[in-house]
Amino acid sequence: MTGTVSARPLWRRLIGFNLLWGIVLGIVGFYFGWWLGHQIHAESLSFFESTNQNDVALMLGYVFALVGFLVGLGFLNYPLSRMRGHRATQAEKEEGGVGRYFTLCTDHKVVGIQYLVGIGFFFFIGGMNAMLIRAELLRPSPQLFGAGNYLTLVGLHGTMMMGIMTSGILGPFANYFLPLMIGARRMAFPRVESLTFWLLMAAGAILMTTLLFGGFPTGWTGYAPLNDEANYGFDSYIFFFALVGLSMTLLGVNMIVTTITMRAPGLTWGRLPIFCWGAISTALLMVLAAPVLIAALLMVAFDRGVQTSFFLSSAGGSPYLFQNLFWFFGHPEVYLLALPGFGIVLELLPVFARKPLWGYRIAVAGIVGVALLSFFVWQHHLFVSGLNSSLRPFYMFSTEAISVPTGLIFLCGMGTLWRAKIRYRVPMLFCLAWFFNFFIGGASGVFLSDVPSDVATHGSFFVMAHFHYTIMGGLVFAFFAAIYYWVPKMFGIALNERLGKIHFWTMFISFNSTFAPLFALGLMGMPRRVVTYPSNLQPLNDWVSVSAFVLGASMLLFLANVVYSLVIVRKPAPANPWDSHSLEWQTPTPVPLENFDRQPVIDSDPYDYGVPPVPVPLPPPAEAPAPG
Amino acid sequence: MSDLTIPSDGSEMSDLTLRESDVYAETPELHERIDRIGFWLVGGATVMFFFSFVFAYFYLRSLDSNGLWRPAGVDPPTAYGILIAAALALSALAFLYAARVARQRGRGWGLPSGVALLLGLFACVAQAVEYAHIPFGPQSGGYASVFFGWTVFYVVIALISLYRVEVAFAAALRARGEEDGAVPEGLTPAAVYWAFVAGLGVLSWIILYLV
Repeated sequence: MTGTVSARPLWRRLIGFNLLWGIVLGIVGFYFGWWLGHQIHAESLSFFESTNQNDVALMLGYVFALVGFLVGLGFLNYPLSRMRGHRATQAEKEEGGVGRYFTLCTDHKVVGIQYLVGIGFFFFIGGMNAMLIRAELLRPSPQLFGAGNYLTLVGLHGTMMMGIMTSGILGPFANYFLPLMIGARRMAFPRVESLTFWLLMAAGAILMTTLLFGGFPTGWTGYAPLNDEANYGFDSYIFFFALVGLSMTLLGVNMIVTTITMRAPGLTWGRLPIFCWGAISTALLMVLAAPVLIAALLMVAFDRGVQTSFFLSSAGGSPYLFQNLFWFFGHPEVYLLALPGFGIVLELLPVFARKPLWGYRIAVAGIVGVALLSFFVWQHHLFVSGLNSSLRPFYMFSTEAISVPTGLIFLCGMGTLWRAKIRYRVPMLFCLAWFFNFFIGGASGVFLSDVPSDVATHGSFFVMAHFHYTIMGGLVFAFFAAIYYWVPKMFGIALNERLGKIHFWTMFISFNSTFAPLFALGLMGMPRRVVTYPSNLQPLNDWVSVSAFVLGASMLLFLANVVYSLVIVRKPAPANPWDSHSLEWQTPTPVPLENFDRQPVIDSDPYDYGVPPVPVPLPPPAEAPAPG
Repeated sequence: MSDLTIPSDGSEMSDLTLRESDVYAETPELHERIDRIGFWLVGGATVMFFFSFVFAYFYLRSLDSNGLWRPAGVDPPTAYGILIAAALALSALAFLYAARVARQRGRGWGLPSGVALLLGLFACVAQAVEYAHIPFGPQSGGYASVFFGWTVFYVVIALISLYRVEVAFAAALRARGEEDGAVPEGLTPAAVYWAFVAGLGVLSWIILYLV
């Protein structure tokens, strides 16, 4: 694994396995699949004659587009080499320079930065959708898009955010820092690591193509029977989420195997950084929950493509089957988004509180407890669907029980802050805001786990306020904490502190100003996904919309900070600007290709801030020389 | 690479100590362990994937919407089911034997790997042939939906899993004539995983054909 900087001219470097050829072959693959699908349509599946669309053609188009994309990026080279009997290797021949960010790269640090930029791009698109939604809701009646397009917009926003942002912390930060934090040189499966990123990018691009095929009317949940009946555009949703699920599964496997097998000597489970616990708990959820989503979506694809009837009760199926399978994934999905945030916040608190993490083992138990309990709560999403009422108490209590391990995590956070000399730097501000936001999100979640109050608020803006407080207030605030904290390590340059604080306060205030009123709107009966609302709700909606625009503008402040700090000023950051004890800060910046020149050996806990160092025993005195 | 930049005297790290260990090389044992744990986790994901079809099978069967769970005549040919399950089981046994031989003798895994590959491919082809002779279509109710969904994606996963069988076979071909051909890394975990997938195939046969 040695890096060499290529001296070839640009035009020569464009020829080969890279993003350019991935896109070219992806487009070629799409048209081949489209053509093939129409051949099948014409010749074998006669029952398509009664419909005006050929889902098989579009699905095959996506399949072959994906294959072409991956071939162009070079993902088939290694498997084909192995199939010809060549030996296994751990890494691709890496090239230096910018080119490695546009191809299959087995350096986990490159993949981390790829994730950061790629996810940032789709986060921006999802955010723009939110701005358009709020623009539409400035008036009680449709003004910009109409009901159908509004529904597609809501679906695109939700699907993009829930799908792409699932890897929002694990993708950039765990890929980059988990090997560093455990003293490893690489991820266990470096090619798989790269594959997870490019699958996610392909998924995002496929979801965007839904606009070319009429969008989809289901929102992010894709419920049956609407999913069977929707037009072409829903195929994009299917492939998007299936690819996201595949990416998540592989990402999870890689994280867990890396943590189990590649920890440095002395890094026992009791010394594992809490962020790594958050990452592998999330990874476990990914491995066990995402395959269920993939299977459910493939069933939908079969219903639409080959006329099975998984979700059609008129033909022996049941729409409830989809709801159960979807939420068996969908509720752990919520914790896929939240758990990495727990890990980030608890990782950063001791650094800025200059105290050991209070109750490390309790915090670990809380994180693992949330992860395990999340598999037993999914039917609270179906309280009003007509499920057997005798099931309600179990799911109500199991959902309420999840607040116990969550409370343990809060307890550990508060214990860490207690009587601490806190440094109010930008990452710490985001961490503190995380506690505020997640508390509101969690407390409102108790109302939704309770059957009587859930029945009253189901499908309303109250639910939307709740999950934005948990997901945006939890995940996105933790995401920005992580960015401000780790950018100096990733790029050797710190983001501007003053601009960072302006960004934080603008975002924090506008976030709460946007989503707190939604609780009231929900209680006043404003439903989700509907473009019209009673005119008496307009003042509050206008307030929310204006706040949302300010929230969007706060993201521009962040981008301005990035450009100012990383492009214009480029002031080198200190080697360890936060005085962190964590292992990733003990390597040089930029981090060498193999992370450590020699294997680190860990012989202390990760959060011993403020603890006096153990005195080193003096060597025994040398014997006095014999006189004379 | 440059020298270690981490101060070994702990001047910047009062609490965390790094010191040079003897070896930082990756051993074959580490690679074997990575493969083994990786396969177990992928096995867990595979179980959850097929759990969805098992759930669909029993859920739709218990609901029997409009009496269309399994209309009369919706019965897959038992002979095909037995043939496919038997081929999968034999393929798994052959590959497990190949891994055992490779572990014990360091060679001789080629022939059983080839047999395992052929039997595995035969099972997949037999499944495709069954579709051409089956007396019902995907649109024939709940059971038919589950049958087609489950078996199609089982074949897809079986083909993906056979990749490692083929890799072992190809490595054996390339190592022909060598006194001590290099055993491909992770052969034993790959064999265990293929046995696991074949076991899922046998379980599929039991549920779809016998229950």
